[in-house]
Amino acid sequence: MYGKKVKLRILFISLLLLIISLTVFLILKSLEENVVYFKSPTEIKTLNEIQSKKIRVGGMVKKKSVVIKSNEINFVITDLKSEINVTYSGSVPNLFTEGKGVVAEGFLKDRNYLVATKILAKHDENYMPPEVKEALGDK
Amino acid sequence: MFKFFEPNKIFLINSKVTKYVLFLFIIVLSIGLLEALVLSPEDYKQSHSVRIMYVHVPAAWISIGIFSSIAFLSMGVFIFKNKNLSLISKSLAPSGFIFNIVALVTGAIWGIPTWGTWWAWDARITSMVILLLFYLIYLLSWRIFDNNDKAIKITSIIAIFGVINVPIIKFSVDWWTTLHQPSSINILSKTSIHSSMLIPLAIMTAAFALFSLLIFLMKYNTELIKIKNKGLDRL
Amino acid sequence: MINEILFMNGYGQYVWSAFLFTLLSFVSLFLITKLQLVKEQKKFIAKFGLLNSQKTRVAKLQNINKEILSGTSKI
Repeated sequence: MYGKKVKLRILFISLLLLIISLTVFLILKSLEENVVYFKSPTEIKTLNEIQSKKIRVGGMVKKKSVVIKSNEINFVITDLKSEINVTYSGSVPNLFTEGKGVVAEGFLKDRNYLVATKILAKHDENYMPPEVKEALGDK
Repeated sequence: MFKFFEPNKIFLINSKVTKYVLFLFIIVLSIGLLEALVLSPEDYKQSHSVRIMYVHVPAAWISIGIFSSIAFLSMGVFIFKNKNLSLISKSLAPSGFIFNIVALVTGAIWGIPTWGTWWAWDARITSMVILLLFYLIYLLSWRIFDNNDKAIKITSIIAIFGVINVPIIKFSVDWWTTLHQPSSINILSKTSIHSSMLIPLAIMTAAFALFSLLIFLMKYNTELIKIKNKGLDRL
Repeated sequence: MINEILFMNGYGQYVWSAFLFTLLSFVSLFLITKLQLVKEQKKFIAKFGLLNSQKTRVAKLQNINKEILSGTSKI
């Protein structure tokens, strides 16, 4: 159908794309540590040593774990396997609620305790009007 | 195979079509804006800030779509030595670039009330910034290289290299932990956006696509006239 | 009603700034593209448009010439 030259060029482009993809894949694979935005509590538990640099932990705010004391807020981040206690002073985003996603940035004191300097709410992919949510909740 | 893309034929149709596309775009955009800002319901959790999604998501989709088409056409340029394809790519790029900026800016605005930060160097956002950089060097290299043959070669190579970034953007939310939420609309699995919110999203996507088409037609016309001005009848 | 659309439960500033930014970037890209098109069209007319009108004038003159000639033949 096509000439020999055209076929050769198709082969060339395919090989070029393959090479670039593999290179990018290997680079990203080796940088995985930095590409992930946050770690789960389970991953924190399995850390060999506690680093003194800033770290982000993400998961779900455990239900009925939020305790607000004057200027300080304490809660538990869970990934349903492991948990980590977080303490933070300051205001939290509007979407920060129990049972929803959260990312806490701060310093680890030990494997069970994080002093946060920043709290980010992680939104999920579900969008629906309040009435629909209520109807779903009733079921 | 490429008869359809004959510049002279397109040129004739093009000048008339632009007007209709502009007209249609304004109508669809008005309906879309009414749906997105007034008629659609608020979200159970994000309240009214969900409305930002109706510009953010279509802009992101179309900027990624346009870059993929540019890369695809660039492969055509390279394989079939068809230079008109590179002219089409060149004319597609400006609207894709603008949509990429719109996606990033509206995303940042949305992030303030939702995440509690306007920026995060997570995989999704960073890969979108990389796409923006690819758009930038693509557009710049058209301007830098006066020699047309050289410009065609270099821009095509940039587009082909840049297309590797597209699947990274798409799957970044699945491969790594990101602050950005995973995609709500999937071809294979169920979408997690309520139907009342899909209507404005679909209309806005159509409006944005029409805008891209409009800019593309105008830009393509400009490029064709430029070539004629240079005294060349064919590419 | 109007108030609710503007204020949007406190999210109005974010929603409206996002939509305004989008529309502004649309308008600016449209104007830039339009300007470029008009500029090239003007160049084109300056170069070839005049040539075409000259040609047509010549053609018209030729017609007139023909008429004149045919007219003269009658005389």
